[in-house]
Amino acid sequence: MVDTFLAIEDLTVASGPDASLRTILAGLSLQIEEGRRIGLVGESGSGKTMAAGSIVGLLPTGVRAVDGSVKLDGRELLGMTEAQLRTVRGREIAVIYQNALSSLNPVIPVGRQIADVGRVHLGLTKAQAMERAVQLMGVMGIPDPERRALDYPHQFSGGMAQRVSIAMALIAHPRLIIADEPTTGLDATIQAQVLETIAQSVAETGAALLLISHDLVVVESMTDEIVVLYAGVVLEHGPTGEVMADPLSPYTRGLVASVVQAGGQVSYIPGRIPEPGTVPVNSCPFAARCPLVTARCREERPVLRELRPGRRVACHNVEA
Amino acid sequence: MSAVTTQVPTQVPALSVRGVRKEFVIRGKAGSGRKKVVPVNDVSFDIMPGRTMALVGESGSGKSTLSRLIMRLYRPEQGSIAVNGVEIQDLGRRQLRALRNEFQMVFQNPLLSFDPAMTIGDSIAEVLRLAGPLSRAERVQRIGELLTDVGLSPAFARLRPRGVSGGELQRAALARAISANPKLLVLDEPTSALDVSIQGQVLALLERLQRERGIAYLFATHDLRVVRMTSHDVMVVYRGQVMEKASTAEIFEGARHPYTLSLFAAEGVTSPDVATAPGVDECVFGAADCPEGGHLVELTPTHIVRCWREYAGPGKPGA
Repeated sequence: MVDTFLAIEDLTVASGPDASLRTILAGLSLQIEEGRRIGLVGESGSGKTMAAGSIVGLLPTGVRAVDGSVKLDGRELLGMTEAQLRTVRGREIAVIYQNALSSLNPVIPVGRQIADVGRVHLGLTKAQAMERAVQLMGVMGIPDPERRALDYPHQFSGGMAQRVSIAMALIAHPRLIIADEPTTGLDATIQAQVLETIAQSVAETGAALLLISHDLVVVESMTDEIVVLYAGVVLEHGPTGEVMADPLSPYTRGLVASVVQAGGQVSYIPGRIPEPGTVPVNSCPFAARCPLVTARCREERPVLRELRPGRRVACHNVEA
Repeated sequence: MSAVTTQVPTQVPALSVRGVRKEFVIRGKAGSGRKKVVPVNDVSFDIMPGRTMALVGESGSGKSTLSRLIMRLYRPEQGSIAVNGVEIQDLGRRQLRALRNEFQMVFQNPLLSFDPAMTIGDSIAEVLRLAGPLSRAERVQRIGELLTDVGLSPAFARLRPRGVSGGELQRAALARAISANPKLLVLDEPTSALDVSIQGQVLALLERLQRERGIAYLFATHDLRVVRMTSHDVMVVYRGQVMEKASTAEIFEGARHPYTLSLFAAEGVTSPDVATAPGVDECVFGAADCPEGGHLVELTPTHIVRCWREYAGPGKPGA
């Protein structure tokens, strides 16, 4: 039995004053085991980035976790001080962001930026850390790493800069890597190379992966289980292969249909995505766009239930 | 996209591009002097009315430059571009303005392609004016009809771009583009800034508008799923050159060029590094001892592919 080292229980994230809270993420529960690869899928405003932000204590101003818990080996991360969080962030949990060029410091050579993480978290000397940084850059497929380590971020292409940030995430041997849309904005061939690099790194280091993406195809190729978020609510959670082959939630079905076409037909979900915090608490968030909607969906929010072994869905209108 | 229609031989292409080449001279790194880049290099193709040609390639492949040449935002060094049989590159301002209604462009990010200070209705009115004079009342009514046609309420005319969602604004951008009854729409990644569940809505709308109005589309995209759903023909470009051009079925069932195959598999073949790539008129995939540009080989009347000498895999012409 593999150990759960990160347990998210009923995490609720909201913004605004206490009297009129806007709920951005409503009750996310997720257990992450060592080496497990989990995909968090959702469109803009689904709360997927806020989920990641709460885990590492990096939420935008005005947004906060108002309920639930995030425990790393039993230690509560919510409410930790900045100093305590710094021992977790980068050390136990590393984050790879969407735009590597803007997440790297533009005025420091990349090798030093990678090495600094190693010095702070592993107590390496300057020389040891730099040696390790150069070595990692090579492993990440950056040609001529010794020379490139001296270059600044702007001298790297998008794909190469993303490899630098992967190296930075890996240097302290984290147990969990959170990759937030790591390949969005990269070209298709570069995207495949970066995903390959992440997949290999995770496989070799045994780190767990939380891959956040709007792209089901990317998530399908990279993960063991999928969590589907819509307007801050988990609508489906299950093993990746099963969810893709036989999606249970009407929303997941629509998403899968819009990426896997039959006979060249354009398939789509009508309607629009609700603004964060605008879904009534007693309604299913997908009710306005759902082909299976009934009166009950607007009066009672469906809870996530285990419809089949390992297959959870929040919907009144699907049966085992 | 429905039944195959017989092409009348005398039909004039909505867009005809012949041997077009565009060069830019850029200043390289200190000491390396000036460098010539050719983002569009001897490109030829036709799009018939009511058809969609997908333009597939990565960033830097020349998609945007080609789109801008067709919109006559740039002029080519060589070659000709004709919209509905009229050569556009030598037209004066006035003549071009008279033709502007016939070809319109839809950009990737609607938030950037709308003036944030203007209402959506006023933005549409600017393009609608190209179609001919209308009274104020007629204009308001026409804008309402156009918005209804793209699935929006006429009330959107009074809103500003910030007040609506990305999918809705891209619909409004389409309403604006079709307001002057164009024969050709150049679509530059029109769905890639939209959420997944919204992309399909815009694609379905494009399909319906084409069916009802017979508009030809040049559809620049890097998303092969979108290509399969929307396009009749596909042209794959790399560093300004056409690598392969075929019907959608031929490309998806029998793509030949290693670059096309690499886009499909999105692995294996690595894009040549710009720094070590050969000169502009040499084959971009060729070996150092292959100085001349690769030639286009016709596999079927609708399927052409650029030769590649270094590629030894299955499907090599003559192999």
